[in-house]
Formats: sequence, C-alpha cells, structure tokens
Amino acid sequence: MGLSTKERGSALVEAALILPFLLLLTFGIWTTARAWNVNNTIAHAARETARHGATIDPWDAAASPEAARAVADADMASASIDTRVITDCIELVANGATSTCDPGHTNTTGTDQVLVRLRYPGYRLEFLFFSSTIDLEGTAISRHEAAP
Amino acid sequence: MRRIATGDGGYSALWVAIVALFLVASAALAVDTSGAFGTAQTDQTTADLSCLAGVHEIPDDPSAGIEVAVAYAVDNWASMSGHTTVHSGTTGTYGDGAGNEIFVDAAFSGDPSKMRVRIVEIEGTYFGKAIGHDSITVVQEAVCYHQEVKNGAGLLPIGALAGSWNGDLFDCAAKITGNCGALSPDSPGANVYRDAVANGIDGEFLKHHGNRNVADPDTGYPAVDCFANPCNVSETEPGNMVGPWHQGLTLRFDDPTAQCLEASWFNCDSLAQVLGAAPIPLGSSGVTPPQLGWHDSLYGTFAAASSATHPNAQHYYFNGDTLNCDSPRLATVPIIAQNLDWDLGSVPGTLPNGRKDVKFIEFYTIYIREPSTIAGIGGPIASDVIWFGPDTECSDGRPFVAVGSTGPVDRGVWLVDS
Repeated sequence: MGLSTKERGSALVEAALILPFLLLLTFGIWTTARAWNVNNTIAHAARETARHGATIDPWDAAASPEAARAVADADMASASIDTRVITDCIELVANGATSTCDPGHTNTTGTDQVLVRLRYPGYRLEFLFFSSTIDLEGTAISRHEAAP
Repeated sequence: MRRIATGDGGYSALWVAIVALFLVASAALAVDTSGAFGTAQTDQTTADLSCLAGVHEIPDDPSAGIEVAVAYAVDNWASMSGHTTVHSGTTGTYGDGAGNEIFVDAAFSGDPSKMRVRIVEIEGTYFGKAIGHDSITVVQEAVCYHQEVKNGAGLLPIGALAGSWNGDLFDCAAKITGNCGALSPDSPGANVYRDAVANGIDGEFLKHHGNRNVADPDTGYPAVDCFANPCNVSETEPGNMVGPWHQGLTLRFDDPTAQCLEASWFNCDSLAQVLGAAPIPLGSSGVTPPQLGWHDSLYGTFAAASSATHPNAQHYYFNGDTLNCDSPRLATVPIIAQNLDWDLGSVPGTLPNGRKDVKFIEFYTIYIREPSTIAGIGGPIASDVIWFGPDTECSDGRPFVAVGSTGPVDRGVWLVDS
C-alpha cells in the first residue's frame, strides 16, 4: 500500500539528513582505528628494535643504529606504513650520559642502554569532510647486553 | 496492512537517533577499552624490558637487580619518575601513592634465578565516567630467568700439566679425596669451584713462559695473580673437590636446549653436533692446518698429533662458522707449569693439595666426550682437543674466542697465533 502524496519521499529526505552523520561516524571509526593500528605498530617496532639493539656488541655509533632501524622498518613495512616518513632516535646511551638525539633523556640506570624513539609526525586523520593531523610515537629503552 | 498515518513522518529520524545513540555509546566504550589495551601493551613492553635488564644482576645481588629493573621501568614509563623504591627481602615496590606501581620480585617462586616484574597502572577513562567508572586498572607482568652462559669462552678451573696431558688428567672418579687439579683463579671455596665447573670462568686469562720475575718473552706480559684480571697465575684449591667437581658437572650438562638430550636435561651432544659438521682429525688427508703456535714441549710433536696417536685425547681441526659456542661440552683448559720453582710440589706430574700458585703456559680448547650419559657423571672424564683456524665463527655469527674476552695479548689455542 503506498504512502500518501505528502509523505512520499520523506524517508529519503530523512536519510539524506542522517547520512552525513553516519558517514562521519563510519569514517571517524575507520581513520581512528587505522591511526591506532599505526601507533601500535610503531610501538611494537620500537620495542623490537630496542631488543635487537641490546644484542649488538660492540655498538658502532655509525652502523649500529642503521642496523637496528632495519628491524623497525621491516615491522612497519609489514603494516603498510611508509617508513620514509618515520623519524628515529636510536642510540647507545652510556651510563650517566645524556642522549644526543633526545637531550631530554639521561641514563641513570647504572648500565649502558639502547634508546629507541620512533616518530610519525603529522599522521593524517581523514574524516571525509575534513582532516586533522597527530604525531604518533613509540619509545623503548633496553639494557645493552655487552659480552662479559 | 494498516495504512501509515499522516503523523508517521519522522520515524526514520527517530530510529536513526536511537541507533546513533547505541553507536556513539559503542564508540565511547571502544575508546576507553582500546585506551586500556594500548596502556596494557605499553606496560607489557615496560615489564619485559625492565625484567630483562634487572635479571642480569641476580642471583648474586637481588637488591641491585630490583634497582636496575625499576630504573628501566621508569625509563619506559616516564610519568613514574621521582619516587623511591621500598625494599623488603628480595622484593621491591616503587609507587606514586595513587595506585600506579612497579613491583619487582628478585626471587620469584623462591627461585633466586627468576625475576618477576609487575606493572600496575591506573588508566583514566574518557566516557566511562558517565556510568561511574573513572578509571581502569591495568596489570601486566613479565617473568624472566637468569641462566649462566655455559660455553667455551669460560675457563674450566682444572689444571692440565704440560707434557702429561692425556685427555682425562683431571679425573676425580678414581679419587676419594683431593683437589683433582682444581684451580681457583677467581676466588676460593667449594661452592665457587662447583659453579666455575658448571659455567666456566669469564675473564681474561693470559699465558706466561719463563721466569716468573721476567715478562713473557713472546708477549711481554708480566706474571699477574688471578685475583686480578687479566692474569696468568692461579692458586689451587686446598680442599677435597671431588664432590663439588661432580656437582658442577651435573649442573654444567643440565642443558634442555641441546640437540641431544637424555632424560630431558642432560646434554649428550656429539662432537659433530657441537661443531655443526663432522670433525676432521688433525692431519687427515687433504687437511693441512697451519702450525704456527704449536709447541712440541706442550702438545707433543705435531706429526704425532696429526697422525692421531694420542691414546685418549684425539686432536681435531676446525675452521668453520657453525660452531655451537654455547655448548657446555666445549671448554677451555689451562695447561699449567710444573717447574719446581713454581711451587708445584715435589712430585712432577701431580698437583698439590694445599694452596699453591701455578701459572698458565698455554690453553687447550676441548670437547668433553665423556661423560656421555647421566650415569657417567661420576666416572672418568675424557676429552678431545679442538684446534681452531682463524676463520672459526660461532653459528650465530659471533667470532669465536677460545678463552677470555679481549686484551692486548694473544692467548688460547689458536693454531695461527703469535
């Protein structure tokens, strides 16, 4: 049985009014979940890199950060993250020393340590009608396990 | 079917509003729970890294282990800085008084080799407050285990007298009492000796030839007592070391990661399994290893070794890159001087009971062939000598160092040597 003449199309109009909000919500969930996944991946990559760096002995300030970064890149590439945009601070920080690439960190643990900080500056959140950016970061600090 | 009344307009909007309410509520729940999951992931990393950092200090110094673990937990959890660790026995607690806490047990389950780190973090909610849940308590734990590395880089504290080596000289099986060639280059004591047999002694051990008051003619290194490091002079153990020797061997071969196992714990790896390849007898056809560093006075003639005429200790050459350097069946044994001016006692070829000084004049790296079964631990010890070429590497890529770690003086049993 059909609707009356004046009701015809009302559902369409209502749907048209609601649809933008639904799309906004859907895209918001999608983009936030994606950002969350990227953030988790970076955190995981930082942890894996710190553990790998802990076993590099002797540490070569020129080559070892690059070798450790390769571990992070492999992790992030597997999650389809463009590793070229990821900045890093990977360094062996001696006991009592201050990190050169992260001057806010001083090692007071009584042991040498490997500092890994990975950053994704300006990660773009797409909300369909507008966008926003946030900085994602993963940090891990592990004890450097030098041979006895 | 009833005709839709004129006033039915707006139903879609109403339904969408109701559904949207559930969607927003679900999204709010997702935000809070995923926040807690994210915190849990970070806290797990914190627990793992701090446990792995602190476990190095136990079982010798549980208090230091707690401090190091807490230091790494704080480094990975920056907002927790500025508080003090409260020690209680082998545990330590570091908290901010608001429920956030780092708890370290340096003897987890009563085992002084196990450490547990527990992270408790109070995670504030964004939307949970609306239903009375201001926070979520996240608890993550890590348990780690300290295992001494048993490998050929550590010195086995048994003396082999030069010129009389037959592969089983340090055999305690035939003795009821005596020191069985026991050395104490680190520190004296039966338990120390037992642990040294189990794990080897890490350190820098050098060789010395000639008069003790004169520097070694090859290396220029003076005679130094082993309570310092590096060193080349060790004291002997004065007591009965038969028991500690057997206990140490039992601990040494307690290796559930071996390729060959007996009773799920006893390492019965063959020489081929340790080397990762079939052993090559020294002097085999087509094998001509360099002879630099060979001393007839220490090892017998090279020709004799090459033809494998040694009755007990066979000689093998290895120059590959698959050596299982962590095998407890690999050990480095010091060859000690038996000159009387080194106070070795009056009977050449025997080790003294009572504390005496002996000096290292060379080192053998050996494969411990017997005991090959659990039942054999109390029986004779037999070994073969491995001569390593310059290209030897551990299976994990590490360079192989026969004894000690680093230092200015060549040492060990490298065939290509100074």
